[in-house]
Amino acid sequence: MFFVSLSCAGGPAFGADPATAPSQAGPNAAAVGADGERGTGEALRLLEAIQSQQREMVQELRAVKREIGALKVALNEPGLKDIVGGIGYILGVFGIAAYLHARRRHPRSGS
Amino acid sequence: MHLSDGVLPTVVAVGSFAASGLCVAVSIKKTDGEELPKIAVMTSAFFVASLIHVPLGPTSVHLLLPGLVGILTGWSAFLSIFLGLVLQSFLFQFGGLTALGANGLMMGLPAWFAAWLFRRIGARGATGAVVVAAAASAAAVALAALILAALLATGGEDFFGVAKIAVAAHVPVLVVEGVISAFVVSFLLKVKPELLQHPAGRPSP
Repeated sequence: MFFVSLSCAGGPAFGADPATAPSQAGPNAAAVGADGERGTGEALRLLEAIQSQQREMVQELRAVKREIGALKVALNEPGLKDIVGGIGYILGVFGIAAYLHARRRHPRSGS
Repeated sequence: MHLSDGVLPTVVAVGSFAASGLCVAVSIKKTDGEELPKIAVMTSAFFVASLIHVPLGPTSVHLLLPGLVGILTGWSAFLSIFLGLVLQSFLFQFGGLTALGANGLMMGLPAWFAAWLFRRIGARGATGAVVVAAAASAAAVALAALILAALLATGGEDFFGVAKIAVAAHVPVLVVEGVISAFVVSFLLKVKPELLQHPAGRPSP
């Protein structure tokens, strides 16, 4: 009951606040100003952090891009498989040629 | 020193294919069947040599070895080099398929030149042979650069400008190849001089 009356009284009390506002305006505004300053400082700090993070990211991204470029070049370079395969082709072709040559020179030497 | 697709005018590309085909036919005709294993080994060496890069400032050039192939295989050098180029083009993406004829001429003719030079004046003494082998290899690289310039000149490039750049870029290769050829020839002279002999000098079976 008491609470209710208090809350009921609270309404008009708030309503009456503007009347007392002029007397409290000085300290209240200062508080708000300090609060705002603190907020702005924090925002600036956050912004700075985000910006430095972004710079780092850009640098890292550039490094990754460079790495991708190097990888692309490396992919185009012939590997061991190509080398060994090519040598195999060469030996195979000349092996066939040598076989044909030998067969022409010694016809049916086997039978 | 490989020409890529689309660098040369079509007429020149087709013409160099025809010329290369002719040279390959001559090369096959002149090839002694008994020499085939040696030719196979030299072809493999030529095929792989292009992967050995010589650093040169910001860029790098690779070994070519036309001179050494020519010295060791004589007339068969063109066949050897053409096959090596075909495989390089397919497996390493070195040089374009349509420029294969031009590339064959560019590497094959210097090989024949080196072979001619070596057989002509290199077969006198051991030291003379080594010196001539080195000189012939170096000259073959320079000749390849000149042929490159001549081929590019047909595409509208300035012959002397390209020739100057191409020869200058290949000076390290030229020196390295001369040294390699000198070592190989002096080694072979000691170990197996038959390999350096004229195939045509042998009685044909």
